[in-house]
Amino acid sequence: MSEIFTSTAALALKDTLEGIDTDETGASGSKAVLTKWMTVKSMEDNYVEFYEIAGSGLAGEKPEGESIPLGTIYEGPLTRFNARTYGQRMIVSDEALEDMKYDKVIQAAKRNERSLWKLADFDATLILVRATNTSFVGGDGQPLASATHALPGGGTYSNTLAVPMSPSKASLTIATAQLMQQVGHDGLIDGVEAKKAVYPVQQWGIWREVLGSSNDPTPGAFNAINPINRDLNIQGVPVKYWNNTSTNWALITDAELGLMWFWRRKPKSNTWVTEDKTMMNYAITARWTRGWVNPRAILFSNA
Amino acid sequence: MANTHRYGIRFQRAIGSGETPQVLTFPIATAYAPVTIFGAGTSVNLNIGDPVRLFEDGTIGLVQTAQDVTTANADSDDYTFGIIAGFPRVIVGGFPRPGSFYTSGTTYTGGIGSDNAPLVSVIPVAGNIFEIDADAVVGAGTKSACLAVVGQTATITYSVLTSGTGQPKANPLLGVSTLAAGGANQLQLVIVGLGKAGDSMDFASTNVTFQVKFTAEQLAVAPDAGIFGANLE
Repeated sequence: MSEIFTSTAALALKDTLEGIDTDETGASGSKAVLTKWMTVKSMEDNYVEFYEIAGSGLAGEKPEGESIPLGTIYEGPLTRFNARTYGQRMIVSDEALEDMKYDKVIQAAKRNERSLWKLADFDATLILVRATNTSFVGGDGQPLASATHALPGGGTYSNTLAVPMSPSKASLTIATAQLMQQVGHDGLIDGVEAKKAVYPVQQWGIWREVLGSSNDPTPGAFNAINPINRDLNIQGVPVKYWNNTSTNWALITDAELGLMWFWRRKPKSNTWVTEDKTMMNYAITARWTRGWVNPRAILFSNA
Repeated sequence: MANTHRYGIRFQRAIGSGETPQVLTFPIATAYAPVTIFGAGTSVNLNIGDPVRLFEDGTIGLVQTAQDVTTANADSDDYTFGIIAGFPRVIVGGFPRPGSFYTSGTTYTGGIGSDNAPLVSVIPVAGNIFEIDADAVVGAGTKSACLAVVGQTATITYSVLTSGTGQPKANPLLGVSTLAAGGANQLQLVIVGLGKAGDSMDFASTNVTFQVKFTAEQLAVAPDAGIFGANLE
């Protein structure tokens, strides 16, 4: 199970098979989607930090002869991304390597690569899976999706729909309005723009309609335009590992420092032999971290 | 999301510096027919990942639960000697070759010293850490709840599979209902961590993977009743 011997796949020891039915391997075989909805960067140190600073609010009127009103800045939280190492090793006997008649049976290095990229995609999706889980918080002490994200100068703001809705022209109209009034770090209305929609794959069809129809996709209202399609430019990204829900969804906005993925080291393969047992070791490791700094990067519907 | 069940008890790493585990090879007695529970249970084939114990006749067999002895350790499970890693030789179509499972009741002539005797490669449990899937949701079904059972002990429990290559398969799992803070007979697994899939597991579902060590080992250097899972057979 854990090591691969001739007996592990004994039917491949003779050249009698027409084909091998197995998974597509390698990085491409993982069919990873994280790059479609996260900002992928690299990091040079063991950890990277982001610091939130807010200020200075609205300027004020200065009556004649009085001092100019003062502004100031406020310190927000520090958000730290710590690189973590992930990997996998496969152990294959010399005899199995020599005797297996089909390349597709063992292909340990390629299977490792698939496994690691699959894990990376799972790990990225955990951000969405745990979006409202208070055990997994960002720099401000709130989960990614919260109605009470802290503003450095005091007060809170929300990046979640007050009333969760299923995807539709109506819900996206409300969501867009909320985004148009999203506040900045100083608490002043700033506005951000939706760029992508991420959702469980069960919603792919309705999102295709809502985003792709130039006219209102609502039955009985086909003569109206669909402003979601005509005025917004939202790319739909079904996230296949987001399977703790079939009803939640999120819009990803153009806010800076949103959902980010940092490679500390991209996947690196190694092979070596355990000499006394003549066992070949195939390993792959990578270092990464992921998360968010600015929760304004999403608007979440916790349906 | 459901966790994908991966069969058996899987070698994960050694406590010592060895990067690959030692493997020992033993024969199987002719007509040996494994069953999951002593005197009862289900007949199964032997598969890679099954726990085994040494008999006192040079052969090896499946670890049985509820081993019936009449000593102070009555109702204790078998001690585990090791975990099956492969079958260098099984009889298929009347002739030997490597195979991924041993078919229950395989008969052969010539005895265990002959070239017909089925062979089993075994990774000893001594000094090694293995992965095993849990048979039920642990506690509140959260990562914290799963981490909170690290250090606790539990039994091996079988949930026989009747599909897939090598079926019927014993399908050893970690018995969640037996998790206990202290040691007692039968609790031969001690949890030392979460499985390699880590955060990618759904802790609210079955088949969460744990890393385990064995609290007791068959043929331990100094077995005594103080070792959990004692079986003085």
